[in-house]
Amino acid sequence: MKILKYLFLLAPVFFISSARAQVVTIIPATFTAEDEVTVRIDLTGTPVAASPQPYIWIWCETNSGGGNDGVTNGTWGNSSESAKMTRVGATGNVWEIKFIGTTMFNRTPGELKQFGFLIKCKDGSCQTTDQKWFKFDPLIFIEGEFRNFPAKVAQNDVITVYHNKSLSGDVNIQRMTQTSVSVTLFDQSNAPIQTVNGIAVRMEGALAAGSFVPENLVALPPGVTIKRVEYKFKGTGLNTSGASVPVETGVTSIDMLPLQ
Amino acid sequence: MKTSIIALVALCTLVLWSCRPEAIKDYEPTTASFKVADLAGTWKCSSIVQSDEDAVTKGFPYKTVDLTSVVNASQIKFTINMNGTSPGTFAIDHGTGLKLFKSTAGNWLVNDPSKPGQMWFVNGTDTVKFAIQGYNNFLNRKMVLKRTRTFGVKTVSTYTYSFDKQ
Repeated sequence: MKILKYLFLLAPVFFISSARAQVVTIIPATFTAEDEVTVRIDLTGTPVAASPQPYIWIWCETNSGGGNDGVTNGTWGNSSESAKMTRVGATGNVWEIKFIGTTMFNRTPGELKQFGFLIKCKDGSCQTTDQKWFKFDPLIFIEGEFRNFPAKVAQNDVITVYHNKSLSGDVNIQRMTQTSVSVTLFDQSNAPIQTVNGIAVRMEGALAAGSFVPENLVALPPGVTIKRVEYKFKGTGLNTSGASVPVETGVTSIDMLPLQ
Repeated sequence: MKTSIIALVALCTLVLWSCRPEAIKDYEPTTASFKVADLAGTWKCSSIVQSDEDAVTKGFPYKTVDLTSVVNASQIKFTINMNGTSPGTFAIDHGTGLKLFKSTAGNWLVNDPSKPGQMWFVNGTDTVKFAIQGYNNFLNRKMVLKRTRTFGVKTVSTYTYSFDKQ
């Protein structure tokens, strides 16, 4: 009973990504690039399950685009010994490895956006599917063209999305007048559920803002949850003749988290 | 000399005794007359403030958003009914405001009927948990409820709802 009590207390610490083929747990659930992160994975039923010693193959994406492999990877045909996973418990197929983002990717905290990984045999003859993305919490605030409030949201939260057109690199967007927000909802298998247009825009100083509760935008079929939403701002601009033309921004994605 | 030593020992004992922490007393409401029935009634929402606790912790800009006009909060009403002297049913009327709560009816519960700090709106498997903010608000026919959103054990955001009793 006491053990059960402790397990119950510890349970919320873990973020279990059950939508993936393998059950991946990231501890702690939220982390910066300077925090120690434990990646734990149950390899049962994967091509790596029979491997006596699995290895991680890890990579990152940076805020400026692009990215690089983890310093522990080695080569695909010969993983580095520092990429060895450690078995959790004496038996079973749950394995884990700990790392710190800045050390693993040899990047500054401000550069690191998110990481992905797979588990493989040392010689590369077997591997799991890609597990991605897991985002690093920012340590500093960087104003961008798009922003959502709050930063971490669930499908039943009020989400406010902001557009700062002055930070766009596109002159047409810099000159646009935002009139609405378009939101596309994606389910747990990442298939689009529906696109909802015409969400009202209000101006907060120089920023255009739109608010919505994802799960209230559509009637969700039973058992369907929203994994993420994509949004873009729509509006009008003037062409070279001075005529009004439709203008829309690029698309930005927000992950829906299992908040309690 | 002997008297001085005794006095010194007595003084030290007194000093050490005075440094002992007091036992933590059980919380007592400042409003002695507060009863769980004070939660009952029709409550009209007057404001909703959303806070990004991660932004607060890190000192980022954009820590809060006032949702009052965004969601048309003045349209939102909570009706909280008693079942005798115990918590009973609740109903939420969003009016023309943005729908914030999935379940608009069900039962409500409190963590401790003698000094409630938490109130839950329950409908099947859907539970919304509020922390009751300050009993003194009820003296002014006001109610402030706070809803905390957590990711794992970490608080990531909060909603603070203020109501006026109708």
